[in-house]
Amino acid sequence: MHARPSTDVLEDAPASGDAATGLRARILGFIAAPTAADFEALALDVHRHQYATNAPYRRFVDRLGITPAHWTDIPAVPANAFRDSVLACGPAARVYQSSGTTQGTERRARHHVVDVAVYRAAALGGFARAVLPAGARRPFLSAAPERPTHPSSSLGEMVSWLRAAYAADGPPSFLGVGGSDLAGLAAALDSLDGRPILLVAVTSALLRLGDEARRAGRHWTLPPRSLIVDTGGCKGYADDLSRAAVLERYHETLGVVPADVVNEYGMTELCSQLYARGTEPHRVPPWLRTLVCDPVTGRELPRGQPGLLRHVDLANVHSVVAIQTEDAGRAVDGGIELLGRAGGAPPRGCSLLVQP
Amino acid sequence: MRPSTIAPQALAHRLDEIEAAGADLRAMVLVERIAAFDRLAARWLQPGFAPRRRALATLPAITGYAPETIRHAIDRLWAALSARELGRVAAGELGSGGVPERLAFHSLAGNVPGVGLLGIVAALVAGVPSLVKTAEREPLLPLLFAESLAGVEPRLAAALAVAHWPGGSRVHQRLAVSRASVVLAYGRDDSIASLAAHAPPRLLRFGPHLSVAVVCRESAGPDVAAVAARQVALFDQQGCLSPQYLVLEEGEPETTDAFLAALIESFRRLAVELPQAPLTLGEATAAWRHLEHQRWREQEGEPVRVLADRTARFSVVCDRGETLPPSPLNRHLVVLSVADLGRARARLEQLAGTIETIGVAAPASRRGELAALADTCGAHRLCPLERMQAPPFAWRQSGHARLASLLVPGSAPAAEPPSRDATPNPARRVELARRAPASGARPTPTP
Repeated sequence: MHARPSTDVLEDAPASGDAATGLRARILGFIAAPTAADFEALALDVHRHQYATNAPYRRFVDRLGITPAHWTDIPAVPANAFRDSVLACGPAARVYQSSGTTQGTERRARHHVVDVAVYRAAALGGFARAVLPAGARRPFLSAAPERPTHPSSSLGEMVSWLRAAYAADGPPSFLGVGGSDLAGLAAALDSLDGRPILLVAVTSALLRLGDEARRAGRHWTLPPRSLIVDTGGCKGYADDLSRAAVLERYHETLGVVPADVVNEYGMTELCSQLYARGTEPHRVPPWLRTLVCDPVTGRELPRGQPGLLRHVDLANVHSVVAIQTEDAGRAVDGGIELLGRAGGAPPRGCSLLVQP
Repeated sequence: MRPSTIAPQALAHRLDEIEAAGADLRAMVLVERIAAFDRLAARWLQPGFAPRRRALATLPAITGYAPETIRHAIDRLWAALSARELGRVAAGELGSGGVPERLAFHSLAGNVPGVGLLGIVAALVAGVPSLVKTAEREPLLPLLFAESLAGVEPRLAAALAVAHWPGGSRVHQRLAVSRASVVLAYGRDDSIASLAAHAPPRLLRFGPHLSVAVVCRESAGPDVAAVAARQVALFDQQGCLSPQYLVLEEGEPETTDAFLAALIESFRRLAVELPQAPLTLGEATAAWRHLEHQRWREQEGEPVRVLADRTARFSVVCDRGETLPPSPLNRHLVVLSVADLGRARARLEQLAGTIETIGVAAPASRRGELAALADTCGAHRLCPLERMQAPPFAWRQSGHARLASLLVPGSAPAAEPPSRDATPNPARRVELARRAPASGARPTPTP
């Protein structure tokens, strides 16, 4: 699932000030060589840095009257606040925007990223840990946003970094401004040369590719050890399929087994990502911790109980370290099981729910 | 409770039966039908009446509403069905004659008990045999109603069939719609559209609506706040008569503050007196999102004030700006604070066509202003604040005349004198005026 957005690029602007620079270095060091003991101290230091330099965040914390003593106590800003305020500790190098398809462009979330290097380190570091070790080179196919066509998309930025880091060769993305070029993707699949590929795509594009292939009586078998990384869930596709059904479709279309499919979960407001291989739960990198919380009490829920995901992401060093999402999930052995958007519910009676 | 699904063949048979019973139904004179419902209402209002006891014992678990809320629902329903009330409406709407529709199909929806029962009573009073499809979330009360009717007047009961089938079942829908001359469709737009797809001869839409409370500055005291909070808490804002917005005409700042404080204090008390139905994760999330968004606006200096406890179980959001924040329902009231009712009009205009009821707390001298406000937003009903959740039989639900909408269109010559079997008609307007000078029902055209 990917509620991710996008924007326009400003000049790279690393954080200023000795304290911020030191914090940045510690976080980059942690991403490069994580040790569990550092997370809590870093999280609290990031919180203090943000309290000092991010005015809306400071007002939020003051309103709650919380001085956290533990990383789980750090006040989590509602993800929707990124639609209303600029939550940044300095001038932005990038302003990534969400797609904002449901509430119009003026209600898009905007993540002002002060230091792109930290985002890049977290994105590539997380991918290397969960999907494919750094240094590997493969034919690279993409049906996902990339920076040239989607400059305001945080996902697009990340996919472009992945291309630079992993692509031995490969055509430009088959997802352009005007939509997916499924015929082009099919032709690229036709011409694979037996080397294992890395295919990065939004889920809906691969599902539509499967629909067209089925109508044409076609399918492919990707070379052994190929990997598919998908994201975005069924957003933009006609049916809301279960993960198992999506994996079955991929198997029919591309001949891949679930173990060769990795799902990425990310948000415009988040610099780090979670990954799930096959039907396994999503796992966090060491610099990101995810709690499952009760929306009524705000407290963490016991393992197995569904609630809302709250992310504490050290890579969000210059925006907001703790974000309360409306994504539903539950903590299970080995990670987080995603349950989709908890968004809302139709009235049980004859009342009219006014849309914002 | 999971109701059993009627087989299509059995449904066809029941339709044959009630259509045949229509002759006996129409052979009854109007006062007989009305008297039967009066007797039935009297029974239902007795604490020991078995169907009432069963409803009170079972509906809280089925619907999630507090026992006190269910008691209110039953009492308000049967209090509205006295011979006097039915007679007034009949004289007003059937007085000039008219031909009853051949057969009505009532497709009920939602979990607010009794929402469609006034329409069923109206059909039988008007002489229209009726098939009722019960709602998934509240299948019991129509069944108890039908069973209890059999004990009072078999000719009425014979013209009524209550059945259940899964929502959207095309086989059942097609059969029911093909046999009906009029369909009363309750529920969300997609449910109504699925019935409309079968092209019924006439379709009366009872889609979702919301209601608004209006408190004039002269009335903005703690007692009125308590009344308003109760109207919100009953049915957890899930009903179309539930206030989602409260227009508060500003007086002295301390008066306004005291009113808001009284509202939240009332919600706190009502959390014990009328415990809230359990929320789904989606509902709880919607409430949380609403509160956090409004708190963020308040924090960033927008003209909004949030009163709530530490949880997201109930809240009052007072907005002094020009926006119209949506309520997530479930006891989250949005107060629109305005300098005068003229300002309220501009904000409520945005809701035109969606407002079922406007409930008012105001002195009689403000009646004209309130009527104009109701006109502006096209509200179907204007009533005293404390009566919002207790509609009379005369209520033009979703804008439909209660009885006249069940006559064949064009069959009621307006110039004819009242039929002989109509009871005297003191008029609905008088009845409402007696309750509160600042209220009155406003007739709206029947679609």
